[in-house]
Amino acid sequence: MTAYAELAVTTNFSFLRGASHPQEYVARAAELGLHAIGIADHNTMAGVVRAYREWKEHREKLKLLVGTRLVTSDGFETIAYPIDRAAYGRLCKLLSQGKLRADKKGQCKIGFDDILEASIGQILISLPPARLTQSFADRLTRLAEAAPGRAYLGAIYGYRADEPRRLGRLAELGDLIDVPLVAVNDALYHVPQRRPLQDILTCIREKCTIAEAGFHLERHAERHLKNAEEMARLFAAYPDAIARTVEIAEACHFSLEELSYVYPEEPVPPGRTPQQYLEELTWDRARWRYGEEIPANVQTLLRDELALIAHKNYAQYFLTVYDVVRFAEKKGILCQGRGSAANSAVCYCLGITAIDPNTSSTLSARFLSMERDEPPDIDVDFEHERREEVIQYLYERYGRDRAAICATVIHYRPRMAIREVGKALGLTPDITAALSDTVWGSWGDGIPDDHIRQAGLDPANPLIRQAVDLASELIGFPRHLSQHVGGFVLSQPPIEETVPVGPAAMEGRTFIEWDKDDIDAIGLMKVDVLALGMLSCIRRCFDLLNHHYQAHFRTIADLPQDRPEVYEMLERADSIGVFQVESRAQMSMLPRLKPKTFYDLVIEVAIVRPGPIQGDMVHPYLRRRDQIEKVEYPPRLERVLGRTLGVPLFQEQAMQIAIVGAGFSDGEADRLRRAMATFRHTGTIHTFREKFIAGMRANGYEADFATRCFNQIEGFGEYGFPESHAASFALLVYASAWIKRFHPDVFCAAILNSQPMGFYHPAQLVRDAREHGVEVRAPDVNHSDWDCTLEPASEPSGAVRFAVRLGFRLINGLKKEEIATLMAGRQRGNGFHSIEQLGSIEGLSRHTLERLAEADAFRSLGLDRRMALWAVRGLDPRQLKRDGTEKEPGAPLLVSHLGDGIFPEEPVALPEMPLPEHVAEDYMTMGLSLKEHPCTFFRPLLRRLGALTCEEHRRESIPQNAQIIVAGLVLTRQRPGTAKGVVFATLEDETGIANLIIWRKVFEANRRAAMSSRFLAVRGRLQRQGLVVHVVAESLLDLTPELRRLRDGFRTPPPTSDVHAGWDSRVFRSRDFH
Amino acid sequence: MQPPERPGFPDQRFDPGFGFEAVRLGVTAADPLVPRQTGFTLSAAATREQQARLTDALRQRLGSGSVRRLRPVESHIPEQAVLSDTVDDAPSAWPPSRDLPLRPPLLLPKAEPAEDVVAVVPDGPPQRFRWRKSLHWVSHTQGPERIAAEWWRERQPKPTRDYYIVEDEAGRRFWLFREGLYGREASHPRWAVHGFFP
Repeated sequence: MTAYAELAVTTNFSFLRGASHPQEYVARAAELGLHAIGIADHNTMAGVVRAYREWKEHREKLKLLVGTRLVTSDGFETIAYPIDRAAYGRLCKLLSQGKLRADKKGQCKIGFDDILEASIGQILISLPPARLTQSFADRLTRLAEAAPGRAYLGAIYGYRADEPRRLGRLAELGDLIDVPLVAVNDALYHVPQRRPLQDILTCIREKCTIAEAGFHLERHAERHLKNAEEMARLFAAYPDAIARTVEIAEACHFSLEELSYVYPEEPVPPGRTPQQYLEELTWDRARWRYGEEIPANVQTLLRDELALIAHKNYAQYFLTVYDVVRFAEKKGILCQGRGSAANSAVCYCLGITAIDPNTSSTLSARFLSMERDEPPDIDVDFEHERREEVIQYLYERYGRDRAAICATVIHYRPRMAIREVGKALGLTPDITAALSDTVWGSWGDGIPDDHIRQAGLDPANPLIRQAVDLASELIGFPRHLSQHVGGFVLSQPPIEETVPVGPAAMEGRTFIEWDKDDIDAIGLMKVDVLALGMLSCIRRCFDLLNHHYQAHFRTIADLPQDRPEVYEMLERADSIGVFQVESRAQMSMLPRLKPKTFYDLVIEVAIVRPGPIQGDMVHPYLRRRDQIEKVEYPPRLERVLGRTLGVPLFQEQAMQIAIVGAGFSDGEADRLRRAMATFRHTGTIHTFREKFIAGMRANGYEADFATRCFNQIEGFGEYGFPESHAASFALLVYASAWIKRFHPDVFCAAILNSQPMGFYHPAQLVRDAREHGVEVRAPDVNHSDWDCTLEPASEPSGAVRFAVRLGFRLINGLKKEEIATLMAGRQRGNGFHSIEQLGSIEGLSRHTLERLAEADAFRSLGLDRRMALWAVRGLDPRQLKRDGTEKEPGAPLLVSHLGDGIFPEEPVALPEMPLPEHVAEDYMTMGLSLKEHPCTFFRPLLRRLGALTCEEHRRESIPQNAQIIVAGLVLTRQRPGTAKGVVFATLEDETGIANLIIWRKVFEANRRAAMSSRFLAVRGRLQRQGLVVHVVAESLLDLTPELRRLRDGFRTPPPTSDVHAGWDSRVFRSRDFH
Repeated sequence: MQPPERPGFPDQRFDPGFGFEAVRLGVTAADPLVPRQTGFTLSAAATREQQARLTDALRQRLGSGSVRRLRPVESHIPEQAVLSDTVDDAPSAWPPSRDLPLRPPLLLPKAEPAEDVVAVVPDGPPQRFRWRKSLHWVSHTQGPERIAAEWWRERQPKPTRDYYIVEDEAGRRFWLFREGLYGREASHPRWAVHGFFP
């Protein structure tokens, strides 16, 4: 039996060339019984780890070679496979240099001499051009000299008419130069059925349609993986060429497993081992946390954890993370770690997290994953505005060659896929647009036929069918690499010897070709340096609290813990602005879950996610919590399920059940997790299901229970939230809730200054603050800062001693620099007394003054917006010092005469602006109004329609299922992917908010109103469950055109023109989440 | 044509011994001799003028669409690789023939079925075939050249063709194809004659 190894494979990581995933190639090679497969993409190593992961499933039968196809700028191609680790490093370095040299991002520029230089230890298979030239022969000769015994000539059976003659010539050349022939099939896809997709990729690459592509397309579909028998038949005249494929495979003993990780040395002071230093530090800092008397259970925990760290040799990882966190601490940058290793006692002592193991003992699964051989993984969230400082620190400390950013692979998404495929097939843009818009949001598995019909197209049309099928294949293909937001790889030896690096967006920075999953698979060190807006917000709160309330808060751990008032507030779903729990879904869950302890918050964060919802865990959990249902689970799973009353809620639990209950190995559990995460469920789900249930039954669990467990896990998919992350988030939930509960004034100012962030617009945040007794003052030229500030309240009540003065940042169209100038001028002049005073400030443009006037910011000068605007417009352009950006007035001759007394202006009595118009203008300039809610003016109209106010509709007096009408501005719209086409919307009127549920039928019947109206009246049925009230919509009335009356007045006849015209949509914007 | 060289013996005097009885030449690389159309007269400008007058005269006599020229189309499918178009002044740009695959000068407007074909499975060349009622025994072949269908053109793309240049015992050269790959596409592929070589 002949053996064959396919050594020329192009995966889809040779962007727009290969038409199969690396893992597909490996799986197919195993199926075909090949001896080995080599993955060698164009000037990159980006796809090799994916191949490696798949290969681990088949390692008994198949060998994997990892290499790259080196393509020079003048078109010479040779496939390079490194024999050993050193040669692999040389290749990576070669590619890195090529990327740095390239003119365009993402390209790689190498020359033939570069290949010669790096040729030590490489097997080089050169691919001949279509016509043999002398220059090719010369280069081959030079390669043979540089790499004696390691240079080969690749022979491809191309199914041309004169194939034997061509191969003969090639063999002759090989003999002449003494470079032996080796057979390759130069695969572009793993099965011939992928040829159409490969043609489409060619069209996308060459930017032409398939009809125009001509000879760019391959002539046949033979460039797929072939088995040994077939290859031997094609190369019957050259059996040595086949045998050499196996020789080469055997000669290369480099494996990615050899990329053992070497941590950077900096964090360890000389004279101590990493473990020693870690232990010293830990005990030291434990005393800092707890005082001299460290609690006994904490001591035990620390000893156990330190022993485990020593055993696994992870000390350096922790020290490196500690190093970054310490830097942040010193600079006063708020940060918090999350991840399974982060929630350890060691990390608490080191200050990496603020979760006190003494009080949160239920996080017993803390180290479970570390026991299971996963490398520790800690993400650190920093204040988003100061994250850049942290990144700079990393580069300074470790050097630009030893710190690099992870990649993230940008894949083809459904809309892009159908657009590109449609374009390549020559479909007109309106057809591709219709197809890409068919499903609101994202696709599932292709597009169902009736969606296509809804778009006005015929699913039976072969072109449409082809387009949809090909696009479905294309979804998930990599398009290009981009740098990850915060993942950093740090290493002792230069990174470019482990993986190719390329230039990142910022000067001097690089990013590697592998993404986070790849890094985990290989075991490199990664620290995620992430940005969290809420941390910036909390730090602002601390600054304000320390300044105005004489507090001394530095870190989150300084806040008073476990205050019952905070939990009471959350139970009432009074959570606007609070981290993670302010969404509509969360606000419905809070009164049901009724969190009372910190761990309840951990559950709250994780439970309102697609995973648990889809897996139907939420209701069982709540029932058990309310003691409607008995809490029961097999005692053996106590450690896994005890803390969540027997219902798996966290991602870790799903995997732990597979391991503890069904006897899965770690690798299998990981594969199970991945199998559920793919876009299309491949047939393998069934094998997992069988294995799982069989495994559990073998362990003595009931078949019923096992089936239920698997269904829950399947429902989870990839969307379960890790417990460790939930815990870190829960800390921030508590912190932001504490501040909101005890210092709503501080909270309001800080959260406004941290926008954009969170679920709500400033309008809702301000309304919420006012409902909690905070006085909010309008922006004013004499009082405001760029940011919102606190001023002594006119009527301090209890703990709330300050009022919030809105800052200039809320006004549209202002520049921060000009406002700084304004404030400087204000300080010099001891306040402003007239518009002219403002006009005389150098650097303050007329544009800015007009915006301020429009925003009604001159009230302290006794001018409302109309009068202020009039005054600004009347400013003498000569008086108004121009800042160089203003245009010259049109008639200079005339201008110089103004204001010289010849044309005096009489003071004009301007008509008063009605309140509705003020409110409309407020919304236009700031997105909110302190004067009145727009719905107040429409109340008579709404009453005539029969609507209740939002406050009224919550009253207990309204029976369940009553038919009612509510109306208001549309705040948000949501269509969660888990909810089968249901749309949730939130309305707001002058009294509060109403939550709507719009089922699919109603949505389709009222599509336009549901999707884009800004002011909506809804008739529907009331649903109440405790504190949670919803209206299930039956019919919708779009009132958006009425909004125009705010400006045009209420006596004018109702507008007749189109709903979506003009400023209504712009002014009253909603947040739409798809 | 260059005199034959013996590689590896550039300077050595070659001793023919008793002389040659037969010499066999193997041609491993051949460039086609590109034919050039000569004009009716020696000057190129005059040729163009004469050609234009000829074209006009033919058009007037036979109708405007009667004078046609062949244009190349970038398609792997042989019958689509050439388009017949009405003449205009722009010369058609044929790529150099050494870059084009070998094609018969005469292509049948529709490929005609060949029966009774005997060939080694899966892709061996035909050893005999019957075309237009006469049986041809094949003495020399070249191929297969594999050309797959243009899948985007129709709902059910046609099967792949393997083309063979065959010479029968009488020295006539045909261009045959088998439509359908054994195993992957069809269990009973059809054969057809598509063109003729000189």
